[in-house]
Amino acid sequence: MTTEETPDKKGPQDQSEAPENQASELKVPPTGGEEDKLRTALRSFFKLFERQPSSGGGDSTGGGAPSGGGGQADLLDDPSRRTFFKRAAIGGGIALAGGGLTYAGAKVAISGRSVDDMDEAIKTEGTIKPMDQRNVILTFATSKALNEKHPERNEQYSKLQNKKFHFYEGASHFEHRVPWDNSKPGYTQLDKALHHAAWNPLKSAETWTMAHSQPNTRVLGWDQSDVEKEKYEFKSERDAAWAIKSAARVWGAVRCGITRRDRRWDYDPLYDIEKSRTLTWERDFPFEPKTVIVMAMPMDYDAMATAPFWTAEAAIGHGYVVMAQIANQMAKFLRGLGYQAVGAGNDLGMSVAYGVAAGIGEAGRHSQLMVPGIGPRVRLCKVYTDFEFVEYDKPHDWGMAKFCLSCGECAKACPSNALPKVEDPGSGWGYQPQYEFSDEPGYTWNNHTGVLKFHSDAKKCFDFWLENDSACGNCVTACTYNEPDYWHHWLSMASTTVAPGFLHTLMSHMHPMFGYGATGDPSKVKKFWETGKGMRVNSSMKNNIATAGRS
Amino acid sequence: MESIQWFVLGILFTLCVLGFSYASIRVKAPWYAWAVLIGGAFLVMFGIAWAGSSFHEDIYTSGALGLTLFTGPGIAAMVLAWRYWVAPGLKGADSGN
Ligand code: SF4
Ligand code: SF4
Repeated sequence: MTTEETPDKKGPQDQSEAPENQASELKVPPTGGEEDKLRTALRSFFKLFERQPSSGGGDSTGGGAPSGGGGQADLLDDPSRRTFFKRAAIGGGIALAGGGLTYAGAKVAISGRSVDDMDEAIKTEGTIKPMDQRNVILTFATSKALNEKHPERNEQYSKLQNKKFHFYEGASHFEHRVPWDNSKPGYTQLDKALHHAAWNPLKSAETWTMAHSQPNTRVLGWDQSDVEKEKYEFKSERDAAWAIKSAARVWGAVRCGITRRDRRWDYDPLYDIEKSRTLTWERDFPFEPKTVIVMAMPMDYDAMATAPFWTAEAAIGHGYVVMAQIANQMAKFLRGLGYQAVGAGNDLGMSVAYGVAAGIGEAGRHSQLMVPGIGPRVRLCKVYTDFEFVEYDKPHDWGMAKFCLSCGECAKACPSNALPKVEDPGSGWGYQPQYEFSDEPGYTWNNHTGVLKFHSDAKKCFDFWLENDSACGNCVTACTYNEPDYWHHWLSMASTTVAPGFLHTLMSHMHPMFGYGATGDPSKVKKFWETGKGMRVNSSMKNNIATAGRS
Repeated sequence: MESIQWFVLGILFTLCVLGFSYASIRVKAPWYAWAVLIGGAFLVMFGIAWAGSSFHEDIYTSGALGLTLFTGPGIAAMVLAWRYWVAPGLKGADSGN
């Protein structure tokens, strides 16, 4: 008797048998080899999907629709078929429900935990004084006047770290000092030309010094003469927030958060590098800002993967161009609505602190903002405005800073040892810098102390930039959160929010093991220069913009 | 391209569900055998999805490791479960037990 014959010979009284009992009755023929068994099994499997004569012998399937009376009844009357379809439906349903639940759980995890209390999101010790812009590395390095005023800074760094180093002299020749070498991938004329071209719009627009925190540049000017007289009234604060975020999205931002202005994160006093004079918010800034809009735009994954070669600077320079463009557009948009607004790149305030406050990311070990799904491969710009009828965002916790405590891949990739390492006391996490020579009087002049975070020695970072004749970006590229926009990275991202600390260490080791985050790899330069291949029919924008969809 | 990957996985998933449902009425095996078989099938598909996306993003090491670390153990788990728990059940069925 073959398996498929069994049900047909059974009487109606047998049909209520438990499935377990059927198993022993659905036998493979006792004769024949493995091949026969397989063939029989397959034949009986497909037989399940065939219509068969009813147990009463009548042909109820002839010519009728499958759902027609007798055929359907036969199908359901057959206990093995019934069990099969029942289990397929239940099993498939459970699997799909499990998948759906995992997806929903991951979505919730990726949204992060909303932190109501700003003091919990950014912990501080005592009263925090705003950072003096004159102590920002790039402001200091590019200002002759400040270098003359503080010769001890150059002397101390030369004595402790690098004899040949001088902030201003190095900065004066930056990106034009080292000649290209066409035999060195990443340092060829091709790479240099790309690098310079990326920055060129900002140079043409005389706004490039915004990267050094120069305020009131041409594209990001303070002029408010074009503010519309009539103020646009939004129906609700939520409508206002959505309108602002929709505008940010259309101009190319992938994240936009809105937060209250917080004097602790503003530079104060401001410093005009070009005119060598300090500026105050009260006397010089055109209005009293109430709100800061923070926007993030991604840098190209494949270009950043070439760090620290000159090729990576193409993504960085372009990122700055987009920063200026979007900040300019958002400020103009608000002025068009009748509110005062000034766009800012690196100037006016600390973008990372504002990014955390606006709920778009967390500060990482490399002192940069990490945005879920893209990691630190973003550039940030801000808009200061007096508009305040808007729904403010809350800071969010994705567990990324916690992850940093046991990761440290960026510090390993840092060619200048500027970043705190996992092995450092407290993993480098604290209210005060704990890096080498941080106990030397005056050495930490560039750090904003009293804030619980990873404090890095940006002087050493800048030292490497001068040597490299280009920004570096290794810490961005090597970061465990620097991922292209694919589901498995989102899943990893979601799992880090719930995984315990020891798994964080494992995950951070897996990242390079799986081929991500390599730096100084000439093959990435070759790969980058081939990314234009097939562009006419590019089936995905993922590698170009790193993330798709809504802000 | 990614859509093709999901399409193929959809087919694989459907076949798995049908295959397991069919096997469940043909084979007598302990519950843990089913757990290992289903877990193995999940790992196989997870590895294929991982590798598909990794190859699509041009990170071949990740694709290869996805197949090695997920699909490989998945296949091994299924083979072992079949060998030690399912095949004896089939033999039992062969001999009419
Ligand atoms: S940019 Fe380079 S040198 Fe600077 S902190 Fe990052 S890895 Fe270190
Ligand atoms: S590489 Fe690791 S430690 Fe460094 S910022 Fe990224 S997640 Fe944090």
